[in-house]
Amino acid sequence: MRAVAYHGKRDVRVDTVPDPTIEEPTDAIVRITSSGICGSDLHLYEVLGAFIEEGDVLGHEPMGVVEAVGPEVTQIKPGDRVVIPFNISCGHCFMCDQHLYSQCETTQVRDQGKGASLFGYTKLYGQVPGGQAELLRVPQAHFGPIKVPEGPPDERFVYLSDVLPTAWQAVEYAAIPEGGTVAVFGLGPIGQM
Amino acid sequence: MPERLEMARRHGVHTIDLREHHDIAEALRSLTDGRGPDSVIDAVGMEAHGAPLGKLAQQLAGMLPDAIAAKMTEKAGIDRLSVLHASIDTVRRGGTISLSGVYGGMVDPMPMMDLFDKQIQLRMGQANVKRWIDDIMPLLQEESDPLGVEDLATHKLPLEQAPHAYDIFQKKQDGAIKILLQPNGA
Repeated sequence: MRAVAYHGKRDVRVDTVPDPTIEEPTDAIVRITSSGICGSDLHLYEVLGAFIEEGDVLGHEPMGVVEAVGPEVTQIKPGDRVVIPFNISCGHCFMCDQHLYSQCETTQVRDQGKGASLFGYTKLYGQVPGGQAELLRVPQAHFGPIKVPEGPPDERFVYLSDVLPTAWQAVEYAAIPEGGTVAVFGLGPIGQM
Repeated sequence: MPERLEMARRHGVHTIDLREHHDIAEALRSLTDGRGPDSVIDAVGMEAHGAPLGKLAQQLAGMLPDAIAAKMTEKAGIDRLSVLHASIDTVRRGGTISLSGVYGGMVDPMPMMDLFDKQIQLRMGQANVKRWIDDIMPLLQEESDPLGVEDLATHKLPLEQAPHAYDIFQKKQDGAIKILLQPNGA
């Protein structure tokens, strides 16, 4: 399959790489229809080269159609339209039980002293192949993927992967009082949302 | 980044462009009874990296309940820590700063005296995506698209054009605000 891979500072290329396969019973394979480029992908592009290897596939804002599921994945099936959250979380550990999915203890990258694994975001976060590709292997697929209806274009739902929850959480964490005021620094996608 | 100001305006935010202000905090205090906004969201983080040499434009939006907003642009020289420091300076005493921008420093100097003196609450971290889906999904299913998600992507490109996509996104060229890559011409 074709995939966007890191090749050095300001050097991403579309490579041909092996198709992903089901490896764990909780995996799914998704054929990607849309995948956003995040502002934080630009940090990989520009400055985080020390933590990423040539050939690593980038991307953590994907959506698409399920092609295959492992035996322990029952809430989605081939043909379902899904959005994939950038966090890779099990849904049933101490942290996930508190909705701290970015801190999942099942996928935490302990040898780097970091939180939950992420798609396409360096060794610090598990060196998991990302979603800017034709196909994506989704670990913890019994929990992560978000089913969305047919009909509206991908743009209606793709931001559930990162942009919308990031902006929503930013507002929740800002604890704006009823009728209060908030100033937003930065008018990229998060600031706009 | 006039297209970014314009995008915010399209969503009903009334903007006042105050390009010549050197003191963001003072300008915002004048709009909020002399105290500063109750809350500040830093949606910039380390984004200053990769910006073109020359002027860095800093955009600030403040929102009042009746949807009047003031936007200000400051001239060059705002680096990543400056936004955090500007947030500390801007927020009112007893207020909250929410950092969604990624920060990666480990020895950043922080004005602890100001943080403590102003009794500021600071929250941050990566989004816990699944936590918010039930809140967000109903809004995406409304015909009128209240969150404006169908207005965000400025470019939808085939996967094969990824190198070009990263380039214009980083350089903020061609009006790029958000780019979606679409394999197989989805």
